[in-house]
This record gives sequence, C-alpha cells and structure tokens, in this order.
Amino acid sequence: MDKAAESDAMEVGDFERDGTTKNVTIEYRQYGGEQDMHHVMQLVDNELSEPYSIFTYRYFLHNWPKLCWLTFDGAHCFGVVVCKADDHRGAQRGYIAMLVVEDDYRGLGVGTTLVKRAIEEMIAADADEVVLEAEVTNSGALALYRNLGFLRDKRLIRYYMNGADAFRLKLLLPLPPRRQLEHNAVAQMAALNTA
Amino acid sequence: MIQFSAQDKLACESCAWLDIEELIQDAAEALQEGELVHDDHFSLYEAMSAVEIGDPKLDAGMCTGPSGVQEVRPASSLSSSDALAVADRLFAAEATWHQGNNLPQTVFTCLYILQPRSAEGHIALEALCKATHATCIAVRDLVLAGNVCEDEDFALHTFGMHMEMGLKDADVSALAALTLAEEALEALLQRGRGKGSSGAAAGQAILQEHMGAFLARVRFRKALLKGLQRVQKSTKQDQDFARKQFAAALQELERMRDSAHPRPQDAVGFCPDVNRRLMAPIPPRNITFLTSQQTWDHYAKLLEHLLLVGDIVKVGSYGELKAYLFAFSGRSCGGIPRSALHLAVNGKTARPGDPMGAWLPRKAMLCAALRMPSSALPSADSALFIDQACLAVAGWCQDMCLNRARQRRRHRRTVEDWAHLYDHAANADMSPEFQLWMAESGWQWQMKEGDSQGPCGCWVEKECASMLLQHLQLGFELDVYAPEEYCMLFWYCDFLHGVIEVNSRDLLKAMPSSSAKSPHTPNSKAAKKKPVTGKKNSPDGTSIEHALHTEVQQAGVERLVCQAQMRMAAALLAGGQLRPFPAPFNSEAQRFEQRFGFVQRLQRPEPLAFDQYARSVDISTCTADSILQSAFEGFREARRVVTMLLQLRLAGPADKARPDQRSEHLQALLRICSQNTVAVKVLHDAAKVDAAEAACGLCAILATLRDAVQPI
Repeated sequence: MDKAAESDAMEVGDFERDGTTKNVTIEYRQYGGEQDMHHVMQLVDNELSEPYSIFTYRYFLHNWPKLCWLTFDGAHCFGVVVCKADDHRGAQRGYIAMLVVEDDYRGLGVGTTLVKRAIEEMIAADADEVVLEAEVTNSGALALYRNLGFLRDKRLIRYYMNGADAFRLKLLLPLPPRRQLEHNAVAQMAALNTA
Repeated sequence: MIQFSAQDKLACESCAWLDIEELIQDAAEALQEGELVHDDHFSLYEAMSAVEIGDPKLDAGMCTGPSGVQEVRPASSLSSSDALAVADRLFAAEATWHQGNNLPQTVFTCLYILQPRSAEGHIALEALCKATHATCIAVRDLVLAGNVCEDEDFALHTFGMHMEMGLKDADVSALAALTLAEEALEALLQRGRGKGSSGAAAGQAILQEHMGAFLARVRFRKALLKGLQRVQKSTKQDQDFARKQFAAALQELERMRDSAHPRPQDAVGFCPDVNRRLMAPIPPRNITFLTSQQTWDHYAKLLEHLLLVGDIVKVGSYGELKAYLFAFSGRSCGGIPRSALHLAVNGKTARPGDPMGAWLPRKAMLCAALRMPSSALPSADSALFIDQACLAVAGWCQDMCLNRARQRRRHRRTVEDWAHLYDHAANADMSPEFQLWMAESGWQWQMKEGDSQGPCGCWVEKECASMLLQHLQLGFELDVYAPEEYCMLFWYCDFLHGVIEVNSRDLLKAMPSSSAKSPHTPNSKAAKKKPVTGKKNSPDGTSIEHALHTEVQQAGVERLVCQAQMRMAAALLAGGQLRPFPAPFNSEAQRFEQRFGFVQRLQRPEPLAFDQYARSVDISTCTADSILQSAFEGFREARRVVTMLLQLRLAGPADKARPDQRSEHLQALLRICSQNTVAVKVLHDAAKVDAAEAACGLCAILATLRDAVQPI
C-alpha cells in the first residue's frame, strides 16, 4: 500500500536538548506505508497510557494513510498523528485518534503542525467537523486544541482505563461554498413548505 | 461458585482441536509487505476490543501470578480481630464496586464469599457474607431496573459470577442469617456484661468490643437490605418504611466507624487475581480498594442520598416535583440512589391496588399544573396533549436521574421530543372545544398578534426553556466552556430566562383565579355533575398562582444577573484580558452553531441565530471601561432586587414543602452578584493603572464570573 506520500522539511533554530544546544531540522512526512508502521506503534506505545492492539493501528493506517503524519529529526521519528474520517449521523466527521510528540521535542509547535496537516487533509475531503478526546487534566493537549478553535463538546465520565474523565473536543468546520449553496436551497424549500 | 452448564461441558469435551499454525504460516508468506486481510465487518470497535494474547497490557486473562481459587482459613479458626478485618475489608470491596469497578475484582475477591462453606462456624461473618452477596444482588437488580446508570456509573457485568439466584431466595436466607447472628451476639454481649469483674477482664473487654462491632455491622446490613427492597416502590408506605431503615443504618454506621478494624487491608481471605481468568477479553484495569475512612464516608453519603429519595413523598405538584428533582440532581448522587429514585417516580413498581404516590408525573398532576379538569378533558386534542406531556415529563424525570454529564447530553437530545410536544400543544390550543372550555372556565387568554399560541403551547415553551437553561448551566459545572464563550452563553441564558418570565406572566394573567366559579366541560355528563376545579385544583390549588408568580420573580432576577455577567464577559474581551478565540479553521459563527445549533429543531422557544447575537453584542462603539461600568451597575441592580426578594421571603409565610430551597437559591444569587461587583471594581481600577495588572487575578475573576446556580 505504499503511496506517493507528501513530505516537506522545515528548519528550526537553536534547540536545547540534553543540556546542549543544537540545530534541528524537522521534517513532516505523510504515512508512507508498512515501513512507517513501527515508528507509529513505538511512539504511541511509549507515550500514551491507553494500550492499543496491532489491529487498532492497522485499522487506522490501512484505511486512512493520508490522515497520518509523522515528524522526523534526521532518521529519528519523534511525533505522529493518527486519524480517520467517515460518516457520523449524516455528517462527515474527522477523528483524531492519537497524537504523540516525544517529551524532548515539545514546545516547538510540532503537535500543532501535525494536527493542522491532518485537518487540512480532512477539509480537502469535505469534512464537516473534527472530534477527539483528551484527558481533562491534560492541560497541554487542551491548550493545543483550543488554539486551533476546538470547543469542549462533552465531558465523558471515567472515559479512560485509569478512571480519568475526558473532554470530547469538537471543531465545527464552515460549509464549503458548494455545500453552503445546497444547504441554503434546502432551507428555502423547508421555509416554502412551512408557509 | 462459577458454574458451567452441562452443554458447555459437553461442547468442550467433544471439541476436536486442530493445529492451524502451518496454514497461517503459509497464508502469511503469501502476503506481500503492506498487504492486509481485512473483513469489512472488522471495524474500529472490533479492532479496539481485540487482544493480543500474551501482552500483559491487553490480555486480562494472562496469568501473571497465582490465580484460581485459593485455600482459605476456615472462619471458625479466625480470631475475633481477624474476622473483623475480613468484615471491614468486605465493606471496602463493596464500596469500591459501587464506585464503578467490577464485581470479580472487588466483592468476589473475598474467598469467604466465593467458598461459602469456609465462612461457616463464625455466625456473624457467615451472616455478613450472605448479606453482602444478597445486597449485591439487590443493588444490581435495582440498578438494572432503574435504567439510569451507564458503564461509567456502575459495572453490572458479573463475568459469570453467581448472581442469578434471585433476590427473594438470597435475601430471605441472608435476613434469616442476620437475625440469627443478631440474637446470638446480643445474648453473648448480655452474658459478657455479667462477667465484667472476672480475672481475664482485659481479654474479655476486647472480645466484648469486637462482638459489639459485629452487632453494629449485622444491624447495618439488615437495615440496608430491608431498605433497598422497599425504596424503589412508588407508594408512600414503602418509601416511609425504607426511610426508617436507612435512618437506622446511618445510626449503626457511626458505631461501625468507631469500632473499625485498624488495618482491614491485611485481612486474610482476599485474593485480587482469583477471578482473572473470568475477565472479558479487554485490557485489565487496576483497582485500588477504598480506604477505611473512604469506605465509611461512602456509606454515609449513600445513606444520606437514599434518605433524600424518601423525600419524594413530600411532593404533591408539578412545580414541587421539578424543584425536588433539581435539588436531588444537584447533589450528584451515585448510581444506587439515582436508580432508586427513578423507580420511585416511574410508578411501575407499586403492587397492584396500592395507592400510587402523589409525586408521580401523571395526568392529574399535569392537568392541575394547567388548571385543566383531569376527569373530563375539554377535547380529544387536549387529552392527547396531556398524554404526550406525561411522557415528556417522565422522560425528563429519567434524565434528571442520570449522572450530570449524561444529563446535559440527554437534554440536548430531547429537543426533538419537546418540538413534537409543542405541535400537540398547538393542536390542543386551536381546537374549538378547548377554546369554548377556556371561555367558560374564565380563562382570559389574549392571542398575541401573528401568534396562535394558547396556554398549552405557552406552558410547553416555558418548560422547554427551563430544560435548555439547565443544559447550558450544566456546561459551567462540568467545565465545558472556555471563558471566551461566556458572553454568548450568558446572552442565550438571558433570552431563555426571558421566555420563562414572559410565559409564566402570561399564564398567570390568563388563568382563572382559584376562587372563580367552577367551570363545566362541554359534552361531558360527569363534568356537569361535579366541579372541575372546585377544590382549587387539588393537589395544586392556589399554589399554581404562587408558583407562577415565583417563577416570574425568579426569572426576572436571573435575567438581571445574566445581563450583568454578559456585559462583564464582553468587557473582558473588549479590554483584551481575554484573547479572541483563535480561528485558523472556523469562526465565531461556527462556534455559536456548535453550542446552540441543536435548538434549530424547535419552533418554540424561537431558535436564535448568530447574526442576532452579533448585532446585540456589537461593542465596536463602546470602550471596555464603559462596558465595565455598565456591568457594575447591572450587578448592583441585581443585588438590590435579590436582597428585596430575600426580605420579602423572610417576612412572608414559609413554604411548607421546601422552606429553604428558594431562600438558598436567592442567597447564592446574592453571593454571585456581590462577588462579581467586587471583581468588576477590581478590574476597573486595575485597568486604569495598567492593562497588564488588569490581567492579574483573571483566573479568580473568571471563576467568579462563571459561578452559576442551577435553576429551581
């Protein structure tokens, strides 16, 4: 299932790591196929508390490879976002399943960029909304998504295996012009019928 | 205690096992890198539920230590102290189960429960084990029947544990054992008192102390079990009996607390992994039992909340039912009392022929709320409307028994039901029979220009507004809103309070006075014989007028508070203390839609659009300073009105049904006004000095601003 995945590079200035300052090149790359699978699994297994089986990774990556972005420092993969997009009660809903940035690389806006890439892909595929869950105490993640315009839609009690609550975050996207026209026409018809 | 059916055993024995490793190996080799065998039915749910055998993070059944039923010391050989530790550990296990953990990892880790014969020989421990088992069955049955608990509230799955014996058998046996133990302990204590002066006084005193401790636990169990049997019934007699039992259990609880074993966590006869092989193929959860202190606190809270359920018998009208449910729901009770309450208000659990509680949201209650004759409704449409209103109110009662997060979501989902109810109300209002009945009954309903709404529609709109307000206000409590959203939220709340104020006033003005001549229902012989509202709309009587009048006052003052809060939020945005919401992908219009889009399904209350909001809070020509000044004046005015209402309440006759609720609510509003007045002043003074200083203490100011009290 290897595909022509997108990739680009961005130079980042001085970056302090392990007490030394070094210059890092951060490269964002779309999931390219089986060879990237172990990067995704290793990062998520190491950094997230919820355990996922191989089936879960394959479910996302096989169905929506374009909605998975990875980020590399040279050969070292240190960040990933895994998503899906499908129909939810008549709306096209994007879902951010996993987002991981290694501790040493946090604070550089990498998580924000990864999520933005994924959302841009979803918008290109006509998504109406994007949702995800985040732990109520994960202030870093909550701030990241807030800065992208996400609202807390629901509180989910004891959502995680550790018993913690989650917020369902939701970003409602504006209707694209073509869909807006359709929407207006339906509303006008409904108004006419009522009259 | 785990039982396999004969068919299961036969199926296992007759299985022919094949080695498929070679086949799988061949299939795997035939696949190229990146290829996948995928069935369309294997969705995210299946992927998330699948386990990798042997991965300890995923495989709950993986053997990581000793498992299987362990040998246990017979209870007859336990010292009184060790037996007390087992009893207290069992209470901790049960309380941990009540808090959402599963049975096999809590109560059923006790080997004395799993192997009942091992508890024999210790009359008190045996009775407590039996009673704990029976209580678990009773609680599980109650929660299942209550239909208001979700996975996050209560783990009902038994994973094949023996829970199906039926409450009747279990509790008969348990209550008999408890009675036997109680009598034996009382006799032993009595005898022990006589030996007070013997040589081994110290040892005897400890033994007496332990027997006293067991006696309290036995009595507690007995009262709790008896109370749980009756609390779910919908008659006053059952509720009063249950209340008495819970009060008795609460008294015993204090004795249990005083006689608690110092280290129940060291109790013998508990094996955390004993049921591991029974667990579902899901990642295992680590469970920590509640501490001794947390356990007793849990039972105290549980009993207090079960006692609150018993207060339902004081409810006699729709207004009182609403106030009661708001107050109950505000206590964030656990799954057991919420289930019990739902059973008590849905009326399905009464014995045939028993008089049903006056608190049930049935035809008589809703007719009284609308001053309609329940014995002979004016028209077929109004009868249908009342039937539908009963269903809607019953649904709302169930929603009020959900946990607070689910409740908020359910309120959002039920707008469609309210939209349908409004249609039924409109049909009832428009029917000629109903119009005639209104004229004859002394109603003075004035149709508004271009609006065909009558009293039924008016009532539905008011109730729906109240439900929407509750949805919005729960968001503050659940920390769902960002400060940048407060302005639009208070704006919408102000509108909804306005709907309640106007509609309550309209109903109050149009309703025939309680002293009006009894109306007669057209086309009904029965109605000609007896007065319809002759008993002042029993059970509500004149209290409908009083309730509507209070609603007008309450909504009016809530509006003042909301308006001031909205201004303060707008001032924070205008002054730059709150940054505008970042919008790389959408705008404020989508955020408005996200919060309030669901109301578009309603005809009434009229759904408000983003453009209306944007126009009404356009602050482009105002300075932050002037908006703050306006917020300050708003809070001051609201405080003045709340103070006046409080004084009137103090001077007026006490509310028999709930003397404190309204005053408490007004006190809460007064506190909100006072704190916000100070916050606005601080913000105003700080902004004069330095904008940066104005941002200091913003968290405290926002906390003050979002402070909201639940409707009453």
